[in-house]
Amino acid sequence: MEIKEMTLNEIPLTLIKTDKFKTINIQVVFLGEFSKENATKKSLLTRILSNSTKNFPTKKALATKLLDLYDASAGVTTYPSGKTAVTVFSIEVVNEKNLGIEGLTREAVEMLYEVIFNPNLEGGLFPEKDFNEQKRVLKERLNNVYNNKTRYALRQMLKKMAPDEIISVSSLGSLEDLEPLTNAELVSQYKEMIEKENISIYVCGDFEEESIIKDLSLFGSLKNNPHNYETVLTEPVKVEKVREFFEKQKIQQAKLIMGFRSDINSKSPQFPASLVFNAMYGGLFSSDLIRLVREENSLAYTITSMFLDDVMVMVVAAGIDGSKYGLTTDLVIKQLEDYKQGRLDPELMQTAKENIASDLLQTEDNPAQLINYFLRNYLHGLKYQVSDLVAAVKSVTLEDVQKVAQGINLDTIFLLTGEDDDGKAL
Amino acid sequence: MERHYRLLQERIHFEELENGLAVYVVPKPGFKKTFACFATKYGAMINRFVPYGESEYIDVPLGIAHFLEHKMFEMPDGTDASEIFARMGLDSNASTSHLMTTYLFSGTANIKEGLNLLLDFVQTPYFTEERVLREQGIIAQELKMYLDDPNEALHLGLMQNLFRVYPLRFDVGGTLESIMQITPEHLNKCYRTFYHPSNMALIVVGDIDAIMEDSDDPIKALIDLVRENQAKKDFKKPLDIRKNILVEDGVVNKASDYQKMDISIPKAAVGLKLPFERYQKNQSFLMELEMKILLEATIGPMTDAFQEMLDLELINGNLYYNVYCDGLSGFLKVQANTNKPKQFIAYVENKLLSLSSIDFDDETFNRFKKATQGSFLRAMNNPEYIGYNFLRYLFSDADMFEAIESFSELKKEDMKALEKYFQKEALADFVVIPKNTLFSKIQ
Repeated sequence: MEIKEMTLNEIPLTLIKTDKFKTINIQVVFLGEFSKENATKKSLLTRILSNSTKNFPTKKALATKLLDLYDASAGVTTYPSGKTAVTVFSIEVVNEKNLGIEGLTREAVEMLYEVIFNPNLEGGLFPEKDFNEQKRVLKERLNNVYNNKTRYALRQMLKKMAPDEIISVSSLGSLEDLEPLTNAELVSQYKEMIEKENISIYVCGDFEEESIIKDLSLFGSLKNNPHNYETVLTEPVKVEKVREFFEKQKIQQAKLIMGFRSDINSKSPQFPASLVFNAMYGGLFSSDLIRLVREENSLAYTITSMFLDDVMVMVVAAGIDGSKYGLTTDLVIKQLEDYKQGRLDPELMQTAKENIASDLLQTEDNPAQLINYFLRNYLHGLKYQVSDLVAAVKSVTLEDVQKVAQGINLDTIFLLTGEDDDGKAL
Repeated sequence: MERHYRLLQERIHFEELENGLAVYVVPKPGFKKTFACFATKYGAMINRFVPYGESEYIDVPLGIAHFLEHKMFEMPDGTDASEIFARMGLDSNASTSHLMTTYLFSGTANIKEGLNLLLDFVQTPYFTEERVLREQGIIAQELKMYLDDPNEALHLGLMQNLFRVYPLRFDVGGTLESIMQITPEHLNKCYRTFYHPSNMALIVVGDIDAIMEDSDDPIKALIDLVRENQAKKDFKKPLDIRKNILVEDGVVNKASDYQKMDISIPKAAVGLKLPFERYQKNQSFLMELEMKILLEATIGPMTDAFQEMLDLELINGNLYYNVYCDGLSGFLKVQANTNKPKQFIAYVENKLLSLSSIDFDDETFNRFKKATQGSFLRAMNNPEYIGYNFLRYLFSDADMFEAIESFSELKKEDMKALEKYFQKEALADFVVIPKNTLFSKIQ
């Protein structure tokens, strides 16, 4: 595998050359501001852009074209990193070498360019029918969050925990912001992205450098915006008092979500130690939380911890019997306290390191993940190669993990529970 | 034995060991990760059989194959195999479907040790009363998690409408009641019968040269590693397994039904039952593929019908379809989140029935053939996909690679053979609606 970072006129270009994949993956990434005001617009915009273009003005035309490119897969997504919105246009196409034909990569690049720069505008607006259709689709999608109980509970917890912070804003958008959104506002959001946001391009596969640069020359005339983006939050939030919230629904299994504040973000020197902490605490199948809560006390089928490292939050999520609420939260809290006191199992730390190292190395086996790794570096201004991060993880000590734990404090507990569960535990 | 697949540009090595275990190796040079999967052709489908060494049929509680899968990880000395894998830096997992139970691991180092552990833990049964009791608690929580998932409810409801007795109508995990009846003796009988090496297969997908770096012939060395592991164990001689799977005619059990749940948007599914017939080798795979193409060409995003469903607000942006054929029977399923479930069902059923006369133009047919070749080449990037699906089709009598290659010879006229499946009597639907709505008021 050979990685080259260069610029295409003003646009940063990362070329990842490897012969182990049978595909060429290309991603064009825009960075802009992520805020409560624009989250819903960005969410709707990605839907509209992925459904039609000027030359392929219907879903049918666009889908047919992708089939003709040997079932190429194209997509547009947007997600936040701190206060930055990351909007990714991607295409995956079979490498023409594997088909014994020529020109397929070029066509894929042209298609990607078409989706980004040639939207289906009529008189300066998206077609009213498409606009209303995608608005309705997004509305139903937002309504549907209620149907996925774990996701719903997580969103509710974040809203309760930090109602005025960026953490509580969902990149899917919100119903109240969607309702008044106009076609003209959406178009100006699109123009802002094209004219003001930061662009970078990533390619992964078995290509000839000269030839891929020639194909990408379409993008070469673009101007770029070298703005500094806030891709992580940096101010730790102090917890005054742990707050608990309950909601009842007609469900069989209660969803417990616990939100913690941490003092580490993706750019912190302690980031590798936070990976090890998370794996040991609740990230691995052999983690302490699984052992305690599932194996020793049969309280849950799943319990897991994860870091939202761009916003300095850690979450513990579990599906439990609602009446076991007190017992489960006590175990989760006590386990964190043990870590803070330095009661850590060196063997489990070794296991955690092995597993993180293996996961990191595996990013090299998947073109999209590989691109994502380099995008993450670009976002946060980091220079870690995969092997550097593996080495950093391997050198983490028990004291480092203890320090991570000491910077973590429980903030908010949310329990989504069954209507039939008796109120005693609450 | 080595086979090379020209279109996919993949190779596969196969050897059947002395004890009957089938070993497959797929080299993926340059990949950091190795994926290994050890599976038995035993899943939720089999609930009545003659235990090894006995002569009478017995019935076992629903969900027992899945229960057995959970219990296999526990070793006699009290350790848990997944923890030993984790200590080696390997990810391990297991899953049970109707067709098979699979145990797998993946990782970037210690692969030889991992392979030995995989074979050893699956071949070390150990069940005690106390551990079975504890597992009942854990599995009950797992089942409750699924009971709250409206997609699971939708699927199970549809299966119960499609099938009267065929075990696809039961959840793989069984029920909260059935798992409480499971005893160590049941587990021993199932294990003895279905975990004989001659009923199992192992596949390894990864950079074999890197795993066996000291060897001149890495593939042979890898297979020898498995052979040596097996030679240390004493297996009884293989017997033909007598099992009794209830089958039925092609008519659905119940045309229509619904369930209420605490959800916000209704979900609807239409199913078509595939009849019980003698499927030829590779046919289960090709059937799924051809049916998927038919669906895509009839209601997929590249059709006018898809746009019409959006315009009529019969779907909320996405439509999911799925075809499953296990070599005995199967189904085709179309589902969506919809505020007009009844109208959605009528629309989809109508489209499906129109396939009783298939009218493909050459351009569309060739477009799909080309796209199918592309999508399988893309899938070859993914060792898990290759490993899991190879075994899944192997157990429904198909060689996935061979079937993909034979698909390139498919002619437009061959699709005509599918017309006979699209019959009204083979159609059923199921709806999940919000708890406070009246079914009679639903559009």
